[in-house]
Amino acid sequence: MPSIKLQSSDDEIFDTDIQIAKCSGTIKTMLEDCGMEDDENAVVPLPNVNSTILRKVLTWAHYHKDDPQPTEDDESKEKRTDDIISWDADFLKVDQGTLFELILAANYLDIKGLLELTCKTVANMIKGKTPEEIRKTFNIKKDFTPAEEEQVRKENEWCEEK
Amino acid sequence: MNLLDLPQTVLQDIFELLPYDEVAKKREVCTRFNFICQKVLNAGFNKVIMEHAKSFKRIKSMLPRRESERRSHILSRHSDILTSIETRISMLTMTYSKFIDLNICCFIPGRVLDEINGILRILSVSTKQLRPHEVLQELRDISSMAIEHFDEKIAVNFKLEHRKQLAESTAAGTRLVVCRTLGDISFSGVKRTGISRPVDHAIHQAIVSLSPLCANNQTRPAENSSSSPERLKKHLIKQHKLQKRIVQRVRSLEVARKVQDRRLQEANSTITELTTQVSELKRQLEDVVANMPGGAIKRQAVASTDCPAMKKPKV
Repeated sequence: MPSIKLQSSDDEIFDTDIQIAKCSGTIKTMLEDCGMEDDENAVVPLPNVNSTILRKVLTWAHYHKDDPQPTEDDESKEKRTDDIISWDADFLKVDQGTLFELILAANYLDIKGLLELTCKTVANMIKGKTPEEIRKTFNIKKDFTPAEEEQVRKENEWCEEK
Repeated sequence: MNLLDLPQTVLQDIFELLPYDEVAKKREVCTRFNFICQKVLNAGFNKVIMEHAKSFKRIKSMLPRRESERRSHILSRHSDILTSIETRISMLTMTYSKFIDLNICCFIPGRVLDEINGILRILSVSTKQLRPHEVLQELRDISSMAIEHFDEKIAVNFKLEHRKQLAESTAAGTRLVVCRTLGDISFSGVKRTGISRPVDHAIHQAIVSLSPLCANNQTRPAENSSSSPERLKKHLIKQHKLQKRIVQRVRSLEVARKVQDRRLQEANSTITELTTQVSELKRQLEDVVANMPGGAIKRQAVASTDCPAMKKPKV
């Protein structure tokens, strides 16, 4: 099976099966547009992804290489975040920093499945928490002026039962 | 690395995965959360409008074109429900859109979006006869609550601010082009007529009396500049006084105009309220008709007896 070389930001080379590399939209376009597909020694530089993250991304891509392509017309389907398979859940048992780096990499490499999965994971971390809990979870500072905070709170008061 | 370091599009994607009710509540976390959630909510409202239009089109295409067949069709209730949602959406649009456009606020009630999406989903999967009243109850309650709260607690403050802006801009306008505003303000038909007309008239008088003065000033200095500087001085003083008077009158006109603006706005808001009431009544009527199986048939009967009678004279 043909393979290509991916180069991470810290200059590590990953010899990768071409089919797996192509789950990234960015790499796929790069290969097709530059006619690099037949060149065994071609090296694709990925200056925005370091080796730790790239290794994780490739592990994920390897596991999901036989997934069906997502269909375009699924706008109207219900928003679900509880349909994460257990392999993915285990795969994403990482610290927040790594998770966000994975999101950035998936976004940059244009890997829809991985981006969706990581976004769902973050959404699940946000879900059902009070604003204070969220600030604590993600280490966020409350930077509202008192007037702004009061305004938002007042706007959200409409559905409180009296 | 922090969550807030992620690009805005990704954060938007993340919030898109949450129910809109949660999105609305997460606005309270910090300013960036607030900014992004507002965007997601506004986009959500637009999406709901599009989804509704899409499914209305789909249902309509499946219904027979003949009114009599449509009423008894299995999907007729679907169509009724979609009509009611349309009314709700237009009420929400009337309430929020102008403030969203002015960037003063966002589409606040996320829960309403969730509810509409839920109903649209039921409509898209179920083909059995639905009970409009049951399906729509929650949506009616919460959207009315949201609109009421917005009108009473939120929009009041916006309106003041907005009005101030408006008044400022018009005041600036009057100062710039006095003559145009004179032309613009037609006081006929408003109670202000009595007060404003004399002012209007007086200004015309002032302008008329001013023009010969100007003409004098232009021609005479050439002849008399050396012989009668005192007369010129007098003229200038006179002119200055006139100018002052005009300025005063223009100011009083501005005040009158502001009063008119306010009345216009009040009238506008009354119109909006009445429109809302009309849609509400329309909706209730639809309910009554939908709940009365005999009603539709009777109406048809009337229609069919009417039609031939109308056609006869033509022949």
